[in-house]
Amino acid sequence: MFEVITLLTLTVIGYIFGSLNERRHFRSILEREETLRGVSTFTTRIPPQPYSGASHLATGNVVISIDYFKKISAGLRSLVGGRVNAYESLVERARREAVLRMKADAQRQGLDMIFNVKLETASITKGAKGQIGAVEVLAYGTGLSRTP
Amino acid sequence: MRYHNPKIPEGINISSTHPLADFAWMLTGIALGLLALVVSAHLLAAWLVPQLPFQFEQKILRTVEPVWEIQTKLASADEKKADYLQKLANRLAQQDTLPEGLVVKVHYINTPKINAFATLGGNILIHQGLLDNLHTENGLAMVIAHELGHLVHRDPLLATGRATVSLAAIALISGFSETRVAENLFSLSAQSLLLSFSRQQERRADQYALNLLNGYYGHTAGATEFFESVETLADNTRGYNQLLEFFDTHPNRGARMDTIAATISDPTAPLVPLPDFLSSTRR
Amino acid sequence: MTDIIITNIEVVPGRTITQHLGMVQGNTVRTKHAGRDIMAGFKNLVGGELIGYTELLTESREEATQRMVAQAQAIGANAILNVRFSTSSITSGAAELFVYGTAVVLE
Repeated sequence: MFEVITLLTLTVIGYIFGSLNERRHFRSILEREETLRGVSTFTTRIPPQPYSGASHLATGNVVISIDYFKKISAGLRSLVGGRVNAYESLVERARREAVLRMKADAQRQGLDMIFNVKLETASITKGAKGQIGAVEVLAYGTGLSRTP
Repeated sequence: MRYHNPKIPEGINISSTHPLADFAWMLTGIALGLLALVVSAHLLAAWLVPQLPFQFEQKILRTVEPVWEIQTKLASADEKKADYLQKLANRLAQQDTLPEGLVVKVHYINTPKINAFATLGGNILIHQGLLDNLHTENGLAMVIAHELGHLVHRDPLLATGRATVSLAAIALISGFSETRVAENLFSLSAQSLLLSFSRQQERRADQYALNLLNGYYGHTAGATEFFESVETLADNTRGYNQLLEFFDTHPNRGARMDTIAATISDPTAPLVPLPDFLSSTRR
Repeated sequence: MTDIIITNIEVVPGRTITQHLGMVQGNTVRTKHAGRDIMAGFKNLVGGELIGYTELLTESREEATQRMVAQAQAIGANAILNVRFSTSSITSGAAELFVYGTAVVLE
C-alpha cells in the first residue's frame, strides 16, 4: 500500500509542477520567437551570391529533463503502443529553445540569416532505472548578415 | 530573392489530447487487459491442475525443505500429540476413498498461532494455538476433515498454479517494458492472490468435512465449535492479534458458520471430549 | 491539398525560388506495444530484420513528414528544400523521428 501512495504522490507532484513549468516555458518561447523574428533560419547551404559580409558559426543548445508524470505516462504507453504524447511536447520545447538560443547567438554577433542549420538530438541516460531522463538538443548553422 | 520568417502556427507537432485524459484512458485499458489475463490464468489453472498426479506435488516439495519440517525439528517434538492427530485424521479419511497417490500426513507445530492449513504433498499443519481453543473431538474433527477436503480437491496445487501463472505473466510484461511502474502495480495484486483459497473452495471443503463427520459420528453437532471460540476470542485485543493471520486467510467465517450450523439436526447429541494432554503446558 | 515538392538538394531543377520562408520541422515520438518488444527480444537470439520496429519507424517518418508539410502549407510554401531526417532514442522502447527543411515558394 505504501508503495502505491508514494507512487501516486510523486506522479501528482510531477504533473502539477511539470505542466506549470511547461506552460511557462512555452509562453517564454513564444515571446522570444517574436522578438527574434528578425533572424531567419534555413537548411539550405547556398547563401545569396555575391556575399561580402561576415559569416560565423552560431550555436544553441539546451537539456530538458522529464518529470515523473511523463515518465509514468510513457511507461504505460510503451505497454500499449502508439504515439507518446508526453514526450512530444518535451522534445518540441527542447528544439524550439535550442533554435532560439542559436538565433540569439547569431544576433549577438550581428548576423541575421542562418544557413545550413542542423539539429542534433540526444537522450541523456534514456531514463534508465533510477537515473534522470533528459533530452538534449543542439542547433547550429552559419550566420550571415542581411545587410553586410 | 526575398528572405522571410513567417510565424508558424502552434499545435502541429504536439497533439491536442490532454495528458490526464491520455493517462486515464491508458490506465483503464491496461487494468482491463490485466483483469482478462488474470481471469484466463485462473480458468487455465482450474482445468489443468486436477489432472496432475499427487507425485508431482511431492516433487515440488522436495526442491525446498518445507518450513514445518524445520520447525518440528527445532521445537520440542511432541510425539504423543502428533500421533493422536495423525490417527484421528486416518480414521476420518477412512470414511471416504481417497484418490490414488494421496498420503495424508499431519504435522503438529508447537506455536501459539491459531491456525491450521493444508498444503502441497498431502500435508496438514495444526498449530498448538488452535488445539487450545477446542474442547471436543467433534470440533477438532471438523477442522481436520475440512483440511482433508482441501487435499482431496487439490486446492493447494490450484492456488500455487494460479499464483505461478499470474506471476509469470507479470514478470514477462514488466521485464520487457522496463519501468518500475509495472512492478509496483502488479506486486500488490499478486500478493492478494497468493493469500487464500477462494470462497468456493472453502465452502466445498466444508461440505466434504460435514459428510465425513456424519459418516464417522452419525451427526454434525459440535462442528461449529472452532468458529464460536474464534468469535469470543476476537473480542479481546490479545486474542484478536493472535487471530489476524486466520482472519486474513479466511474471510468468509460468518456465512460458513451459519451454513454449517444449519446442518446440525440434533444439537444435543453427545460430543466426545478431547484428551487433556492436547492442551498447552505453557501459556 | 496542393502537392508540395519535397527534396533534399538545394534547388528544384528547372524552377526558380521566389521566396525563402525559413525552417519548418515535423517530429513524432512513437513506441511499439509490449507484444512487439517481446518478439524483438526473441529475435535477439536468432537475428534478422525486426519487422515490427521497421514498421514503427516507417510510420513515424510518414507522420513526421506530414507534420512538416502541414507547417509549410500553413505559411504558404509550395516546396521544401534540403530536407534532413534525424532518428534518436528518447527512452527505451520509444524512438523520436525528426524531419526538417527549408520552406520556399517556387514561381
